[in-house]
Amino acid sequence: MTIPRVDKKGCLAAGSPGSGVEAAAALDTSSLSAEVISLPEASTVENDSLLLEDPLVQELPIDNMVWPGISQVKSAFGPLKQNIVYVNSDIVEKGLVFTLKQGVFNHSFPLVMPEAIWSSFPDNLKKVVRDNIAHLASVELGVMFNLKKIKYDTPLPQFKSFFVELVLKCLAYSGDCASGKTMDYISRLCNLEFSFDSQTPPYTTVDFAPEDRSVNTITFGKESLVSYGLCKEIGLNPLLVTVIEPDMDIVYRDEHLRSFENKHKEDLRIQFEKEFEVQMHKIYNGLGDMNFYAHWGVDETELGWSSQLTQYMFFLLPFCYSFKSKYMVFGNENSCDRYYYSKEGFKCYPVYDQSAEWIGHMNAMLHTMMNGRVKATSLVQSIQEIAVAKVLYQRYPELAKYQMSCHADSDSAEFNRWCNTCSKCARIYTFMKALGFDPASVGLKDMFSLEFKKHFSLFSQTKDMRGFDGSGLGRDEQLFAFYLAAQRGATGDLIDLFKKDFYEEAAAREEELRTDFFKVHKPLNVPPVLWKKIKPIFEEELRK
Amino acid sequence: MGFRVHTSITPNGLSLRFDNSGINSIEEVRFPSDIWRAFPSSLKEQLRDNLAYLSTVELALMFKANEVDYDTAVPLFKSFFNDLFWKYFLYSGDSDCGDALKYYPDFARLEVSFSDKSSGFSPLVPDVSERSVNTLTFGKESLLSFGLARELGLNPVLFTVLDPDLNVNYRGELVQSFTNKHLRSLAVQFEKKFELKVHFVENGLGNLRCNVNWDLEDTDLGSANVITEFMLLGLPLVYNFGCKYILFGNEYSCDSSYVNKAGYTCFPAYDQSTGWMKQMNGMLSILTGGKVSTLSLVQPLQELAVAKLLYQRYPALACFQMSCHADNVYASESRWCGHCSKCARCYVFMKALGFDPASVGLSDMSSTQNKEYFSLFSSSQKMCAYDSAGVGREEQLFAFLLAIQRGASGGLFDLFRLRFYEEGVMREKEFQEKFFRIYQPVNIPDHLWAKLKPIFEEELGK
Repeated sequence: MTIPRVDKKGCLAAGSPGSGVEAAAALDTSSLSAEVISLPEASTVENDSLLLEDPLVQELPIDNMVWPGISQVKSAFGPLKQNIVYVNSDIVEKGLVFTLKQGVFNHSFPLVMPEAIWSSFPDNLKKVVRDNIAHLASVELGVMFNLKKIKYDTPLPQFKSFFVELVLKCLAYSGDCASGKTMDYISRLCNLEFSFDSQTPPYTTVDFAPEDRSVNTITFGKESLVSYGLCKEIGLNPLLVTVIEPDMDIVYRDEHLRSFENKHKEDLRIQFEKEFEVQMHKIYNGLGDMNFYAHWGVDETELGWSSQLTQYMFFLLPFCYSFKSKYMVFGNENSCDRYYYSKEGFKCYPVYDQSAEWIGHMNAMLHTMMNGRVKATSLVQSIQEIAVAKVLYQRYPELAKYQMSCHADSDSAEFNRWCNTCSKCARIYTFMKALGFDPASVGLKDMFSLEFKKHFSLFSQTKDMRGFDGSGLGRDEQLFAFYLAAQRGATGDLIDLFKKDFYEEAAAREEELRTDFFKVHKPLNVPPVLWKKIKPIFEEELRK
Repeated sequence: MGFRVHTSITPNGLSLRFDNSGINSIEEVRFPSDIWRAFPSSLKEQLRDNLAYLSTVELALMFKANEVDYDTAVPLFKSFFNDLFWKYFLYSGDSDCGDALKYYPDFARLEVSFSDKSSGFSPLVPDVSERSVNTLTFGKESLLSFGLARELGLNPVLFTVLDPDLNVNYRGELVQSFTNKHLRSLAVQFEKKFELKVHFVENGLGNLRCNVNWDLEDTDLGSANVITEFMLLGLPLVYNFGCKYILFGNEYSCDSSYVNKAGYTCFPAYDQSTGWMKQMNGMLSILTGGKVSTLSLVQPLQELAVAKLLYQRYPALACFQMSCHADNVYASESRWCGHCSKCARCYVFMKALGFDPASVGLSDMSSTQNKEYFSLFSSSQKMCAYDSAGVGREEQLFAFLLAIQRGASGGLFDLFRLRFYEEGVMREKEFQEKFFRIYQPVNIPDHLWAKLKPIFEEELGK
């Protein structure tokens, strides 16, 4: 069974906080140190107590607000009825609370921000964030449950149309994953009605003199680590923000589904902060509970995740505002733009919300809200995933050792940040072997024995794989990685199998593969002023 | 099949050229030159980029194109427009072939690409006063809106968008329209009578929405973008005259919808609905820094009530009414063709309200040979959208009843007596309440509503 808190492809671990949104910036702690949440060391506490003890949550003025570090959803809500759902939203001292209601179903999903940052954020912008997230976070539920109507107690969100377009683009892929249901999903979206409060939405824009610094989310994935390294190197003084989404802990159809990301990331955070003398700001995103099909007790689906990265853009606005940051740095590498055509004839992007095209749309929204002062960018957009790994391992080894790309959503990840039983671990393992980086140094065990074959998309593609692997779009990159690993003398059953079945193809295509995967592609959405500093770094590292 | 759109900014407006496998065409938008010259260049670029996309997406679907390549930056409002199309296409599909989802697969599959130009834009805040820019089509809503705006002290600036008239041989039949001829003539008289200026915007993009120009199948596609296009075309006047409002004449029934056989809710005039006006306000807010909004003063009124107000309160304006699309040969010399469902509807409204159709040149349509134009008696795809969808049936029933009560007789009025009078009488109170009621205003600012409501109450109470 695939748990959908996936990055689908790699850089954005849904379920993995802050994934995709890569941030960086050395921290100005002078005014905000009190706002950085301090937690007990992860290694010394149990998951439950780790999160329930946090003072932030205790003080929230919402009776039934729960701590989002580990999901409190222990049994499924049950599917929503094909009727009206009410979405109520509140601005609270430390963030926002969204409540979904239908009949007896009444559940609140909190979003908790560092208080000082949130309180200094202008009220009108808080409303804009509230209104837009309320709609953005819930629109796909309408498709999932074929709802008749979603009724909001907030005004028409300024960017409703953007969200409809985003969802439509993502439905093509979600529908294809559900065995040709794209037209069915489109039809549901057509019939879905939205109703908003009649008040005029606030017109909001801000004016501040931005500084050349960035806000990066950090997920400990390779893209976020490289982005941090790059931002630091080119002087963007990156500010790190981690979005913590609830780990799952639910019995779904007789199977206990658990994930352990937050536990491992908390360990990593403490070490990272100490080593680099930085602080990571935390956002607790209880909305993550809304996205997961198991929480609704319905069949497995890709629906629910298309809004995540765009939500993060809204989450980061208070940080950009507080720290006068000019850039919001995401970790969307070149392969996020890959797509395929489904049998129904639709163009399917496994991670459309991370595509360069969508970053352009996010910039249009940002431009409007922040008066052109803040720009979203991905510094790694011009390189492929294996090239990201190469830059990370070669140029920033001190960062590379923090890498955690696995979603840690199986029991085997309870005590290890790599589960070693998923296609993501398999992909990263091959990259490391290809690039001469020791997997054991980050706790990733040998995966080249035959028992792991099913996790490698080169040998087979199954529905259980992460989206990017399952769609076959990463096949050539894995072929190339195996080839490089074999050349470096890697051994094992799967290397033997590769040599037998694929070596010839890889050798014949070596030049093409090298060009494709180690090429510096044309940058989209990277401001020229940053590109002229980054391009030489990429060129230097990729020619090694 | 590829489809390319090239654009340029010209001394008088914009030029758009599209190429599609050997078919190509250049369409011009022309503003009064002084108004266009004074329009800020960053906004000219916005207008160009957004109009190029808005005006061609439906054409691409008509041509069954797979991809469209624009030489513009990604338009700022692309998502808004897609949202508009998204809502509208249910009706287009249902109207064309009874399949509401007909255009969705092609729309979802359509690949669009833009140039690498930056679409960065900062709002340009105009210096505005309590003034309106009104679209003037000489339809009853636009005339009433003008009357009301003047009475409310909004000192309205009038502009008329002239879409090109048709004059094309389409599959063996000469298809002609004569709207502009009549509009220009009316405008001259109107300017003289009221001592004001009617500004014309010549909108060549109108050619793109009409299937007959391209020898394509008859379709509703092409009409989703009209009002939004007009909003964008009104912007140079907004900046030139410092107007706070763009006024449209979207009456209450623009929110009407019906559920088709497959269960889809279809809006025949979604682009005139209050829902879409809110979205238009979102766009205007972005462009103008929240200073300009769009609204419809007649939104709380049904169509029949609009006519009642116009005929009773502003007879000097009413005599300019031209509601017919003038798109057949019968309109070559008269602004009412007398051979369409729009003429039929207006005819019975006039008879219902005691306004003489002959005074505006509308001939007697009560003969049974005109039965096919009245949605109460028949329904056909040849009718205007509102009539063919059947959503105006009750209003027409009520209008016939009122006409009978005023003594109308003969032809269709007799037929009405025979077939619908009983129902009309039974439901008279319900209809009175429904069609002469003042509905909740949705997009009208409170201070304007405070002045407007008493006017409505006074006239509808008569």
